[in-house]
Amino acid sequence: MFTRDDGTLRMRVLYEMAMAIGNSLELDVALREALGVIARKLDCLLVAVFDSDASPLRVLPSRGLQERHRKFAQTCLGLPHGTALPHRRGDEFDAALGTSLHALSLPAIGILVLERRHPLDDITLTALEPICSKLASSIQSCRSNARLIEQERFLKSTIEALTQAQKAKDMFLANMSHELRTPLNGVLGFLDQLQATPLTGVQQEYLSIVQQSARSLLGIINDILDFAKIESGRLAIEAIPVNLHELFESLVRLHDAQGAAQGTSVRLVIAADTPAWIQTDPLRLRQVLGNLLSNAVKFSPGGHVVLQVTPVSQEPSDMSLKLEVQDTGIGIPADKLTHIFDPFTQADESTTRRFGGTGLGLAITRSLVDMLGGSIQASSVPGQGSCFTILLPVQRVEPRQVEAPTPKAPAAPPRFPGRRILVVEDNVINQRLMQAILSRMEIGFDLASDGEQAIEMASSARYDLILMDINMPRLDGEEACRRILHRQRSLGELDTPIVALTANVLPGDRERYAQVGMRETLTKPLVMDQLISVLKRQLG
Amino acid sequence: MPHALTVRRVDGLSDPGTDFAAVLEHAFEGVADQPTILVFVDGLAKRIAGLIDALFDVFGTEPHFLGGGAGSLSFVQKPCVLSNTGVHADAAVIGLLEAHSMLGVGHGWIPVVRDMQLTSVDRNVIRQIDYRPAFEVYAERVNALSSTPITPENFFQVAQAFPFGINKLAGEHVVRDPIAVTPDGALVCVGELNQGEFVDLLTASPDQLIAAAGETARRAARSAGGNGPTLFIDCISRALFLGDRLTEEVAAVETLSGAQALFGAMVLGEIANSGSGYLEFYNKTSVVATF
Repeated sequence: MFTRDDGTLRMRVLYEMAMAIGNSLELDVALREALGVIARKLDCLLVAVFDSDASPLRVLPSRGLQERHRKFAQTCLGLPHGTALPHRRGDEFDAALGTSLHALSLPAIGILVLERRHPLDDITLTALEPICSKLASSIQSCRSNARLIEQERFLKSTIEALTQAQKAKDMFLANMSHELRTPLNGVLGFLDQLQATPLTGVQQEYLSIVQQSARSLLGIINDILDFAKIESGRLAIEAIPVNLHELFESLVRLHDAQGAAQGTSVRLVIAADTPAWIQTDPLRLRQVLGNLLSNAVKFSPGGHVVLQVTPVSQEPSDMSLKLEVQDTGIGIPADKLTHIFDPFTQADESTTRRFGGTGLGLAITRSLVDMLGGSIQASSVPGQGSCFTILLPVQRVEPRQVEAPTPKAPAAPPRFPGRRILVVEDNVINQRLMQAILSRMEIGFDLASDGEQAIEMASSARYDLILMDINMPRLDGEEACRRILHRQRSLGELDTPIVALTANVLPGDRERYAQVGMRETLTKPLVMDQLISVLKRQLG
Repeated sequence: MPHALTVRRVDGLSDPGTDFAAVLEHAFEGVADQPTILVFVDGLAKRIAGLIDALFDVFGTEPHFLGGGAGSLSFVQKPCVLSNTGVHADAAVIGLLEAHSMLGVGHGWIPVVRDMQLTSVDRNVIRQIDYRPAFEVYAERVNALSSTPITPENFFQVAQAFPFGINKLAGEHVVRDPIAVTPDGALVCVGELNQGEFVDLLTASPDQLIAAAGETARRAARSAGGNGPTLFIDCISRALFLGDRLTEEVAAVETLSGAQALFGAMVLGEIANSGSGYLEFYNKTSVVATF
């Protein structure tokens, strides 16, 4: 029988049990601690938590569960499964074993079963109900925590998978860039070489058609690669001081010349207060305007195209330009206008057949305008023409001293007699192309098919320049460059200038080549002007 | 004893990360259950309670547990657990004995101060009682009862008569013996206590201890229903407290157990469970087992 002292004792014991509940969000740890204290304080032979379907969640001692315990739990839970649990308890005395079983409700979880040598009194059982509520809350918190941990694990693995997929995409992009540009390098390069040979009028005409087709193919490939780069977030803006007037004038001149063949005129209207020099990415700005002008000319045979440039604001902290490309072409229906910047979309399904194109140009244009910090809109009246308007925030800069523009390749290329170059290239066609180009320039050369051969040849002969392909079997260009320069430096020799010659043009590539000691990078397909500039700089 | 005994050793009794339940499961895998389990531990190890809890978890209340702690009265931990692989520190030996036993557990200590809350505890070290430095509160309570004022210098001698008692809902206290005071006023005990636990201050006279030991022996003998060999596990601190009167306690146990042969050990902390409840690590307690 309990005395007043026993009432205080009960309170202390219950307090200690309550303190031992909910100290961990790991279910196993939480239950081990809670049930251990309950078992010790109540001197239990067994303590067990059962779920609402009578499955044991935790039993102390872990091997103590017997069939009679399960049956008792099932009875108290009032199966069949799914029955709502009222706040109930069960009590059972086993005379043969001399033990008492008690079941206390764990709200929303199941029941707590206690086995003792002596039965618990009603007051103690009632006093245990808040302990059981706390234990039930603890179990729910642990389960929620486990779900959160699982979700976090899933998110982490998804991020890892996406990262791997991105890496695979980058690798594919790099490979495709190389695989597509390398043969094109051969095609365009030899077409240029062919042009320098004596041709009949018909041959010249055919050659011109082939060159135009090849350049068109190159444009489409560049569009696709650019689009893929933009989608992957791999296209970077490189802002430098740019002479705006010169950029606009050269673009308009180019497209006016192209439009002349179909009777389309292209002119520039530039406001007098337009800043002369701004900080921007000239390559991408040229690409954006070039695309719009090219479209305008394409869709306006016999018509007019105007590039109009107007400053919107001249405040140094808030300067922007409005660039409008207006044409008198076929126009765009209103229902197509809203999707005109979506990828793989053209104004008319017949556009591809009549005018060609991939449908990527305007999507790329919009993405580039976004990356330049601007916005683009289109308006149009079918049958009358269209207007594409770009609002571009700009930063005015001081005029720069500009190098004299590199002259176009003269009919007779420059000569470098007495110079010797090592060309490292695994592709046979590209080897033949370099052979043809260098022979015309009277440059002596040797050919190596891979990095290993390049190292051997560079160590047995002195070259004025090494043109090094990057993607090669056995040993790639970067490692070959590293080893050649290391050897020369360890012997106290002067570095041989090494220039990368590659179709790999992803962001970071140029910087990586520079880090291993390459002085410049030439991209494939080769542009003769650029090759000649490099030769002049490296050979003197 | 002409009974099969399967013995395993558990090391690292103070390692904070050891999962003793897993260690025991692995150590006794494939070994048949037996009715009596003997347990001897390094009495100054830091996680004796962890091993005790694991023994209960793995073996339950079917077997009867019997044993105690080994160690030095210098209270410096050193190799003290004997086995046929040598003498080990910070270890336990556990033997599954193919023999039935009946146990009695009792101490005779009675509460004189109630409900002191252990508000800061680190395993077996009490740092604060009722949010005040532990020794300060302990000394206040003891000095109200002891003819000799307690100081850090005479702590061991005076504290022998004033152990702590951990409450359980029914049944006797589980005694916790403070054996030393640290320079920062914390109390070092034999065996762990829990943060937030309420304890009573206990005391007793030699007569009360001797009577309790005798009663414990009588209960064990009555349960056994015979007068077979009797094992007496007695706490060394009871011996120190009783002094010369220890012989009276042993005589009481021998007489009231009706033992044909009485053997046993002085231990630093007792381990016992007669199947009436949870397995505990006791202090200042007598355990009598009749086979």
